Amino acid sequence: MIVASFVLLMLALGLGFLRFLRGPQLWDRLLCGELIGTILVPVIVLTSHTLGEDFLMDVAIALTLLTFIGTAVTASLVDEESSE
Amino acid sequence: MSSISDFFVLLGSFFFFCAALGVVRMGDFFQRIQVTGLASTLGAVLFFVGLMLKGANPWKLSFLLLFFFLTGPLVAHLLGRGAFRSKGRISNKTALDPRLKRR
Repeated sequence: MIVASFVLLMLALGLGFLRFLRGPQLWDRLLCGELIGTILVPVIVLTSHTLGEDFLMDVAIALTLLTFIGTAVTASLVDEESSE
Repeated sequence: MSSISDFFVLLGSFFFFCAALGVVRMGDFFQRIQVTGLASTLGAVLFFVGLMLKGANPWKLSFLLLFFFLTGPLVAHLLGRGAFRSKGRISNKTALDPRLKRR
């Protein structure tokens, strides 16, 4: 079961990266960056549970905060700049 | 108990896969954000509930669950608002509320 969810998550990462390479606008790339950051968190949490390493959970929390702040700040900055 | 948690984890991964599939298949940024924002939030919640049933550090997992539940729609809203206001391309198949005016 854990292998199946790993495979699904890795397929999702590959599809997100495809759109990241192909996205026509800045907003598509920003959305894909957020999606990839969001999918990496369950991968890390599942790895942490499989290996029994508790510190990987802290890595997942740091990655969550970093993804959210990066996407939100970039979206607000581009919005302000382009709507003047 | 183990089969229930396996089911939740697998369902969460499936919804993440659906979000990534939607981001590739949809033809327009606003359709993409609709699919991705909703499916990835639901997938994260199901996934973390399943791992909590497996018994992996409930405090950090509940923090992650709450954070995803709150910020997933928030980020989707920020991206959609920014794309709308900065004249992102809208395909002909996307229905637009006629009361909305693009500056």
